[in-house]
Amino acid sequence: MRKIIHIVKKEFIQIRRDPAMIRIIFLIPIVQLLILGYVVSSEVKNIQTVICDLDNSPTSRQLIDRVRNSGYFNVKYFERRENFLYDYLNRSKASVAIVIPANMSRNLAKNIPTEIQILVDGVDSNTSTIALGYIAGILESFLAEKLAQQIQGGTDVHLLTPNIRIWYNQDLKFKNFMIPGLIVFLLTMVTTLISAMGLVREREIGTLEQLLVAPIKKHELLIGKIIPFAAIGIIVVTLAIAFAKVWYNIPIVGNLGLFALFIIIYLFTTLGIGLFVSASASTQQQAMFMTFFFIIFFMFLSGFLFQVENMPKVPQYLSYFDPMRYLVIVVRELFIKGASLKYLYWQGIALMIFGSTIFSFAVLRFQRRMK
Amino acid sequence: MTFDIKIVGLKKSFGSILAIDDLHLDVHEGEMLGLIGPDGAGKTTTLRMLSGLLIADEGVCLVGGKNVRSELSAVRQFIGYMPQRFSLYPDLTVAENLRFFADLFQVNKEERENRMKRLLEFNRLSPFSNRRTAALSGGMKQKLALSCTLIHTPKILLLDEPTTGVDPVSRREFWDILKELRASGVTILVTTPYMDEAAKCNRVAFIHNGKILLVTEPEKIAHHYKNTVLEIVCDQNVKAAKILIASKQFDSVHSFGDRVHLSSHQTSEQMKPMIKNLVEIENIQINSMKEISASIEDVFVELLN
Repeated sequence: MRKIIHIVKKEFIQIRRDPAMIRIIFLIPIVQLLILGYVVSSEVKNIQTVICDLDNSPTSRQLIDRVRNSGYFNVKYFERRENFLYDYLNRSKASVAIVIPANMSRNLAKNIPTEIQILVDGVDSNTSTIALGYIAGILESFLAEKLAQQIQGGTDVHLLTPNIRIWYNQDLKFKNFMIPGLIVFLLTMVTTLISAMGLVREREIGTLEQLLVAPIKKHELLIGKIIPFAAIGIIVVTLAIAFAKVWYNIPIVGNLGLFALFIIIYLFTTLGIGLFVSASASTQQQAMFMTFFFIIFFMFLSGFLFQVENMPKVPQYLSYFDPMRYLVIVVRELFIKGASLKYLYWQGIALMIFGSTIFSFAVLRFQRRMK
Repeated sequence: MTFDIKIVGLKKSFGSILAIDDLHLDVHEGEMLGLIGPDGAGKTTTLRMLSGLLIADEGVCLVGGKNVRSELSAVRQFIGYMPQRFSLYPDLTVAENLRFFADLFQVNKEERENRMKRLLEFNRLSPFSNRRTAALSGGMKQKLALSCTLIHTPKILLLDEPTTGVDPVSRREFWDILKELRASGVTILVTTPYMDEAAKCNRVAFIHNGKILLVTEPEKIAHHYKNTVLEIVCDQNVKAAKILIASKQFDSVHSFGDRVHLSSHQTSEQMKPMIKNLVEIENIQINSMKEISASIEDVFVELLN
């Protein structure tokens, strides 16, 4: 026990002496959140739009106003000649073109089906799908209103109007969803990397051999090395949450104590991977590449950036083997919904299985390698 | 308990390479034994097996009467192992490095500060105790490494080429320290590629291809050498050596720096005129030519042949 404390003490002196380490601990969470927070939570807004209004009626102008005021479209151009619209899309001057046919208002009045043509630049399929969704929504509500106006004065008809109420994340802010995930990613990256580098560094400068001839047990050495990394992880995550709260005003509805518990369980996984890497690599460079190999899989399969439900079947199954996936779910549920433990314990069990398996595997690997 | 080392029938191979081949060696308590041999002879491998970092394929290492294989933790309490590249934490100061190793060996606090003070004085490092290790010179680093190895007052020291890459002044200083340690009763097994250092040991052991070829006292080395050795100093010794080799009249001819050593079963009176004739024809000026007793180098070269 004493020896563990001596190792921890030595480790903290080294961390304090190393300006790069201080920067990693304090600047990474803040700088990355500050910049990446905006990147990952960027919503589809300001879609460059061109409109070709062939109807040129009060109704069509009303529709155009709707599009303009939705806040998603930047109606930059009006074009009278329909066949010129392609030019706007080809030259990327606009990514959406809306064609209002010449007889729209008349047809509407006569109850004749009317088609509004929408051209979308499909290069960025994500943006175009979202833009189409917005337009469909705008048209639907516009038509429903028109229909209601026509019917009024006639017979007593009740239109079915959906009354939508959104639970959790009421203002539908993408950032509330993305930033908690980003915090998990930061935690994963920092703790895996520093634990991977820490032991390899001792091997590289040769001090590991000295430690091995000293009367210290391998598990004491391991625990002594790992405690400071866990502490750094906790500091990083605390700073990140505080910053997310202050800067982005992220709601934290759930119990932070519960969150801390999950983080500690999760640390066994990331530190375990770091340990595994440092038992396998001989240089810090190798350790870094191996760590990134893991982190990239974790990031893309976790559902942090891409919805797991939208993935093809194989990556979907693979994502079950991504420990980060579970913590991403936990952190979103906790921050946004304030879910209680009974809704999260499957995630907890999964993380415990990952943590204990990966960590013991890494310890075995380390002990074998040190023989 | 006697703090000696006994190695019996040690074998170790790395893949298909036989690094240690049936090695036997005894180091007596309180002596300093120099293990000398060329690179790749198996010096480091032997020391690593003695300190328990490598497991032997066959054979037994008894250190202080204890089997390294089965009683490693007991052995580690009283041995000090200084690897060829002893590594200190570059970002810790001299004192912090010492303190850390003292703590690892569970030296109690009071005793620790005492020993640190003594060791720093002994190794003349006291003025640098607050300097970061990264900023020390090579010689100072080696002295600090030795101090870290000595912090738990080991009874047996295993030193692997402790002065390689150290300047001549620091080297001498380092050996003075070792001499004092030996005087205090510490058993020392030291490997070195330097023949002059080997001469400072009580006994030297020659190792080659994983085998001990000869163990002897430096003073008795000449007895192991039956030939006459002549040392020639001349103005073109490389050329002279070539001519002498080409003549095929001598058992061995080697040039050592500015001198040429040659050995033969003939007496020096028979050799001298022959040499003179051979060399002076080629207009090489002989400055001196005298019979000397065989050095460790001579013996070593002969053993290798």
